[in-house]
Amino acid sequence: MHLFPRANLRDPIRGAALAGVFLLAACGGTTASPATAPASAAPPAASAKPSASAASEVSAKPVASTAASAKPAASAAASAASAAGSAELAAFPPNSVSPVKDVKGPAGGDYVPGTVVATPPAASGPKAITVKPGEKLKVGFLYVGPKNDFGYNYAADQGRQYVEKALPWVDTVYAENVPENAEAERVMEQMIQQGAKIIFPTSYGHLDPASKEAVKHPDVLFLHQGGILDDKTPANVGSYFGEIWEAEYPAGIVAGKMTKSNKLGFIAAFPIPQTLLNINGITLGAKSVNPKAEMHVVFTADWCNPAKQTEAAQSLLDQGVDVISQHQDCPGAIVQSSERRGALSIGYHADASPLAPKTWATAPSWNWGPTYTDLILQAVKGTYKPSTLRSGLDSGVVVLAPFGPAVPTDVKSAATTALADIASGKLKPFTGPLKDQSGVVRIEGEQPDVSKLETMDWLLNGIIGSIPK
Amino acid sequence: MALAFVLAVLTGAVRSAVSVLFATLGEVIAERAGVLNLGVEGCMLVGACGGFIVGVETDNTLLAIVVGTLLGGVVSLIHAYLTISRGANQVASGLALLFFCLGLTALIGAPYVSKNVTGLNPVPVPLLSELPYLGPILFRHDLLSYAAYLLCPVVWFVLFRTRWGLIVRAVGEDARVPFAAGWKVRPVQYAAVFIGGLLGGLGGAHLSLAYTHSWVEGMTNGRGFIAVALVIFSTWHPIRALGGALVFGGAIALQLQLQGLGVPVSPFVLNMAPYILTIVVLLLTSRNRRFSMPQGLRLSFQGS
Amino acid sequence: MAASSLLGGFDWRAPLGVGRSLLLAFATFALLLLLLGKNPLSAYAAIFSGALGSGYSIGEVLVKLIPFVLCALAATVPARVGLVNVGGEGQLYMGAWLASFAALNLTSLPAWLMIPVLIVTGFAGGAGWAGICGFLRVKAGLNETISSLLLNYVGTLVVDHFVHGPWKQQSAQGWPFTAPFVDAARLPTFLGSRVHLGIVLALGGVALTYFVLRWTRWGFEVRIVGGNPEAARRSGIPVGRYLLVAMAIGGGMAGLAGMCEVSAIQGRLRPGISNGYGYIGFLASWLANHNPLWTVATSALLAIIVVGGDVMQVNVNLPSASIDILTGLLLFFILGRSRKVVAA
Repeated sequence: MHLFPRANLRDPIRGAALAGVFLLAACGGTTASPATAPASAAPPAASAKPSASAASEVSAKPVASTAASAKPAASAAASAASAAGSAELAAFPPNSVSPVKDVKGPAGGDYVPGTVVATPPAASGPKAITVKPGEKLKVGFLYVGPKNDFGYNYAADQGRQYVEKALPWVDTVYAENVPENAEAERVMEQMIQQGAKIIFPTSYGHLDPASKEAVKHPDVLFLHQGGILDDKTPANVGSYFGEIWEAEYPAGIVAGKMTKSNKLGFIAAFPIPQTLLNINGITLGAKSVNPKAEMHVVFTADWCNPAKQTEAAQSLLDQGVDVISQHQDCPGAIVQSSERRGALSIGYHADASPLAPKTWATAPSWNWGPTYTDLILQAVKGTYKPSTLRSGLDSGVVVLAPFGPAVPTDVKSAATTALADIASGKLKPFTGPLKDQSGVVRIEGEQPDVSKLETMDWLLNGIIGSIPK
Repeated sequence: MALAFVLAVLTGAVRSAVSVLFATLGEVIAERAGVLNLGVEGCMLVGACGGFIVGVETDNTLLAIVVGTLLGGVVSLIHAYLTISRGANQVASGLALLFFCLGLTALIGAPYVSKNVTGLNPVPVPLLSELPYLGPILFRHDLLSYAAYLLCPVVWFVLFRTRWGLIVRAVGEDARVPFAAGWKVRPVQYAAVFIGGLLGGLGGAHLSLAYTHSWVEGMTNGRGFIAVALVIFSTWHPIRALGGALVFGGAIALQLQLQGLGVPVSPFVLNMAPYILTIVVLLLTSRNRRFSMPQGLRLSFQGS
Repeated sequence: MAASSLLGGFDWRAPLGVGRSLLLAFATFALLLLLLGKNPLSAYAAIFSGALGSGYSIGEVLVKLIPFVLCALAATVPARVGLVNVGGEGQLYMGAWLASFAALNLTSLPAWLMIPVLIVTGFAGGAGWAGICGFLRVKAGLNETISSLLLNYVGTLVVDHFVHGPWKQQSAQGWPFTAPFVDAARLPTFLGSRVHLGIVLALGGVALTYFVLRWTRWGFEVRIVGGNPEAARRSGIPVGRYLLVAMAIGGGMAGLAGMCEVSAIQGRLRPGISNGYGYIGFLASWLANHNPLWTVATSALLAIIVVGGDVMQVNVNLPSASIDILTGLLLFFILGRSRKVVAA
C-alpha cells in the first residue's frame, strides 16, 4: 500500500540533544575529543558506530546545551556532568548484567530500577516513570521508513540498539514505515496497550499524533525527535535534537579541498530549514578553503526515491560535479552513483562507507544512543522535564563519520580542526555578512541563535539551483 | 547553454525511460492479447527485488537479470490464471497482484536494503558514442538500455509481421475469430501475459541492477502504473511506446534541469504532463481506427 | 455480471465461499510466515487482537471503514450503470483539495455552517473530477476506466502542487502542508474515539444508494441503463445523462472520503492523506459484487486487516508491508472463485 502517492515526509527539523559521547575518527582512524585537544589527542581508535569509548572525556566538560527553551536543558546538562567518573553501565539487577563492552550510560549509570532519585517534578510536568525491580521498562520507537536504510531511520535504530545494550532493564519495541499522519496514533496506541511507558516518535511529522496520544495517556512519556514544543504541547511530550549542520561545515572543508572541477553537488529532498542550513553550511565550509568552489543544488521532492536520486546524481555528474553531498533518507543510490563514476561522496545521517569503499569521504551523522539512554534514565529517575533541547557537536549527538581512504591526511586535519573549533564555540559558521541568492544580506554580524537559524528559508548567494516554490 | 540544456534533458530522459520502456513494451503485448495487467508494478518490484538478491548473493549480474526477469513472468502467471482461466475481473486481479508483490518484496527484500551489488555499468558503444549529440544521448548507457531500444522494433516485428503476432492481435480483437480458425485462445493469452511479466521483471531488474544499484521497498514508485498509462498513450503500439517512455523520462529530467536554471516551474505540474498528454492523445486519436484499443480489451476495461 | 444481479436478493451462499477463500488465504500466509521463521499464530493473534481486541481498536476499524466504504461507493454507483470507476484515489484527493480550500478561506464560519460547507465542497471536488471522466465518456467516447485511472495521478499531483506551493503554511518551515484547519472545520468525533461524523456520511451514503437504486423510478431506470444501454436509449431514457450523473455521484462519495480525512483525521491538507484508499475501495466494491450493502462488510474485512497489520508489525517484527501479502492472497483466493469463463 505504500506504493501509492503517499506522505513521504520524513526526517525532521533538527535540534536537540543532551550529554553524550563525542566521537570522531580523525587522522588515520583515531578518535579525538574536541573538548580537549582536537586532532592531536588521540585515544585508541574507535569504530564509527555509536560507541561510548569517549564517554568519560565528555563528562569532564559541562555540556553546553543550546536549548531553544533553556531552562530544562540545564537539568539535562547537569545530570550529564554529574556522571563524571561514574559512567558505570546501568544495570538491573546489578549482578546479572552482561555488560556490553564500551557501551556506557552517559549519566546515572548507577540507577537501580525501583528507586526514584529525585523528587518528582511539579504537577505540570510528566509523572516519573516507575520501573519495579524485576520488571522491564518497555520503550517504543517509531520510524518513518525502513530501519536498515543506512540513513535517518538506520541512525535512530542504532540508537535503539544502543539503549538495549546499555540498559538491560529496558525492553524496546519498534515500528517501521510509520506514516507521518494520524496512522501513527494507532501505532503508538498499540505500543502503549502493550505496556510501553516511553515512546520515541522519531520523525518530524510524528509530533502531532504524539501530542494527541499524550493527552490520552498522561502516564506515558513521549520524547519526540526534532519537534518544537509550544504552549499547546501536552506536559508529557518532550523534544530533543542535534544541530547536524555544525558537522556540515567541516564536511564542506573536505569537499572544497578535494574537488578538482570546483563543482560540488547537493541532492536535497525538500526545502525545510534543516536542509537549507545543511546546504549553506557545507557551502560555507567549502568556500572557506576554496573560494572558487561552486555548489549545485537539486531537490527531488521525495525522501526516498532511488530512481529520482540516481537521475539527480547523474545529471550533476554530467555537469562536471565531482563531490556529491545529500540530504535524503536513504543515501544508497546516490552514494553508489558517485562511486561508479568516481566522484567523492559526502553522505548523511550515518556511515554508509560500505556502499562506496573507494569514494566515501565522510558524513555528518547522528549518534543517538547516548541521548536516548540519558533521556530514559532521566525519566525513570524523575528528573526529566519536557523541553525543546538542541545541541550539536559539543555534546556528541552529532558526529562526523569516519573518513574514507580517499581523504588525505592534511584534509582530515583541516576538517577535524574546524570540527573542534565549532564544538568549542570558537568558530561560528553562520557569521555575517551572508547574502542570499538575490543578494540581500540575511545575516549581518554574529551568528544568530539556534531558534533563528532553524527558520532559514534561503540559499547563499552563488549557490546554483533554486528553492522549489 | 541552450544546447547543453537540451542535451542534458534528452540524456536524462533516455536514462529514466529505460525501465519504464521495458514494462510498457511488455504491457503492449499483454493488452494486444486482450489482457490488462494493472499489476505490472508488482512484476517490476519482483524483478527488481529478486534480481537484486541474486546479484548480491552470486555476484553474477547476468544470472541476476535472468532471474529477475523470470520472476516477473512467474508472478504474472497468477494474474493470467485468475483472469484467463477463472474469468476474474482484470482490474481487481491486477491490483491484487500489486498488493501481493509489494508486500512480498518488502518482506523478503528487507535484509538486502543497502547491500552492495556489482550490477551493470555504462558501456559506450564504439564509434556511435562519439557521434555529436546522439552519442552522449543514446550510446553511453548500460547494455540493457541498448537492448530496450532494440526491443521496440523487435516487438513491433513480432506483433505485426509474424504469424504469432497476428494471432495475438486477433485474440485481442475478438477471441472468436482465432478460435474459429482452430487456434487455442488461452495459451496465446497466457504467453502474452507471461511475456508482459517477463519484460516488467526485466524493467525492474534494470532499475535495481543497472540504474540505481540499490534496493528499497516500493522503489518502483509507480513506474508500473506509468507503464500502463504509456501503453494507452502509445495507443498499443511498440514504436510509439518509445516516444511515451521518453516523454515520461523527459518530464523527470526537465524538472531537475530547470531547477539548475532557477526556473520556477512546479515539479508536480511537470509530472502531470505524461497523464494529461495521454488523455489528449486519446481524444485526438479516438476517431481514427488505426489508433483504437483492441476490441477484446474494451471488455477488460469494462470490468466484466 | 455486476448489473445483472438484482440488488435485493443477497446470495447467502456467497459469504460461505468467501469464508473458505479467507481460510485458504490465511493458511497460505501462515505457511509463508513459517517459511520465514515467524510464528503465524502470534501473527494472527496480533492481527485479531489488534483489530477487534478492545473498544479502541474497534473504533480504529470504524475509522478506516469510513474512507473504504465511501470509496467503495465511488465504484459501486457508476458500476450500476455499467461504468468502471477506478478513479477513487484521485477523486478522494480532489474532494480533500476543494474542502481544504473552503476550510482555509472561510475561517470565520461557525461550525454549524462550516460542516455543511465542507460536505458540499468535498462532494463537489470529487464529483467534478469524476465528472470529467463521465463527460469525456459521453461526449468523446473516451473509456472511463482509462481516464479515471490517469486522473488519479493528476489529482494526487494537484494536491502535491498546492501543499508544496501556494497553500504551504508560512510557519511550517518548508514542510509541505497547509495551515491547520480552524476548530469549526474539524468534523465532530464520537465518544472520545477517533470515529467521526464521516461514519454517518458513509453509512448514510450506503443506505441512500441502496434505497434509491432499489425503490425509486430512478433506480429502475439505472438498472435498465446498466443492463442494456441500447434498449434504454430506445425507450427514451437519457442514457448519457445517467452515465454522467452516476459517475459524478460516485466521485462525490470518494470526495467525501477525502474531506473526512483532512477535516477529521489530519486536520490539514498534506500529501499522502490516502494510503491507496481509492484502490482498496474499488476492491471492496468489487468483492461485494457492487452491492452497496455488502460493501460495508467487505470494507470492514479490509479495514480489520489494515488495522491488525500494524499490531502484527509491532508484535511479530514483520515489515508493515507484509500485511499487503495477506491482502493480495485474500483477493487471489476470492478472485479464483470467479465463474469460469465460457470457452471462447
